[in-house]
Amino acid sequence: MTTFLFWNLYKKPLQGIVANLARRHEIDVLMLAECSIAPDTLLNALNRSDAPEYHHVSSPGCTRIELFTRFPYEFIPTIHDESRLTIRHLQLPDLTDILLAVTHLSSKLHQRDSSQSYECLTTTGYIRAMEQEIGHSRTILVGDLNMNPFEDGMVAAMGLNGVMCRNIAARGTRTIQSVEYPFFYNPMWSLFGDASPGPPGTYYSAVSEQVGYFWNMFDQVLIRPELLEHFNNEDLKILASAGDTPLLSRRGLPNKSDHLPILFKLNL
Amino acid sequence: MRNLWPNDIAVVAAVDTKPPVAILREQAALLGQSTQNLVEAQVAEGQQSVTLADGMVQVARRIRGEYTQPSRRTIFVYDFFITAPSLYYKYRAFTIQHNIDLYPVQIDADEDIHTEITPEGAERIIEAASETEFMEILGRIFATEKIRHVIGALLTQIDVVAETA
Repeated sequence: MTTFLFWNLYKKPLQGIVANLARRHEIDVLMLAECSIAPDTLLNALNRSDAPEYHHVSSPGCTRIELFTRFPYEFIPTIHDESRLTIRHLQLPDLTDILLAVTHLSSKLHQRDSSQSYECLTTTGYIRAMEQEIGHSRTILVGDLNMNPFEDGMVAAMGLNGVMCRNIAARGTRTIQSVEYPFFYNPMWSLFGDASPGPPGTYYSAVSEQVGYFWNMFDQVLIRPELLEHFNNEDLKILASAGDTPLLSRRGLPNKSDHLPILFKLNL
Repeated sequence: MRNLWPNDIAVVAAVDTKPPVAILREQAALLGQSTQNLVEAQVAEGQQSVTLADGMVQVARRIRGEYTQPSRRTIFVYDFFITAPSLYYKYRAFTIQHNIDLYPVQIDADEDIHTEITPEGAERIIEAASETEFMEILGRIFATEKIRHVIGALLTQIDVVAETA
């Protein structure tokens, strides 16, 4: 199994907790947003034990995401980079190769909803371009999308076209006005609310407006249909602790970063 | 049958204005020369089915619940990438779009570049009304700290890889 972790650190010095999570869950690919920890500092924290060594796989064009992996760069080269998006071609020996797109999209504080939707549109465009270039659509999109799974950019056919059911995603595409749009499966829908396993979402925001959700699912992983056989929903978790260190306050709200980490695995 | 077309219909009028893509290709070639082709620039056709301006209009209409359909205007879209072939690396610096008239040309720069070259709160899409304006904006883009950082980091990485090989 190849294990992935994404966490928006809110610029907090959480290297100890990150290293704890990496060791505890044997993380192979560690993806961080709002990471102000110097790469060397985090590498020192990650590489203390006798476990396989982590590498900082540099991506000079993408300034919003830091990646650390147990693999050398040549196994996870960058095939598309820009400030908020990095697309890697993960090719591990004797395993199924995939495209790993990691992103930190603009926040609602700085963008209108229509602008956020447009960002989904351009993100999808570059993912599809790379899928065409590489020759397959075994793609994972992960990151802080700053949107909930039900928002327009996430569900629009021209956007990320994310659906909540495997059997719908498994159809591959949907056609609107003679144009085919490939699906993503969005398993994050199933983690909403307090009747789901784990925390009710990944980001909490108390609101004083009429419409407010309190818990949001901004941090998401979306999976192309071609990878569904490699993914089990049971291997997707929103983490509420790092061993003995809780990531939630006594009131059950994130208290280390303002986001919670998401962990998932792929059987490649 | 009587031919109603003017005799000189196929004579292409001399065009004084250089197409934006030609300017981009020239500049791309110059970067390679400056770096012994270790870091290059690449101009590629962007996706025409959803273009910058059309995409924004379509999304806005979708949100308002209006019926949308893909634009049928002829629009030319080009992405400008900084690449390091030996590292399999590609960075999208900006995308341009224009119609059959060549100018104005719209420029959608990578966010970090946009922040450096425009005042706070500026529109995301920069428009150049003429070849002169376009070249001025390109000059500003190429001089940004972001572009310098990307190229510098790539050259450093290439050196490291060469030393350990």
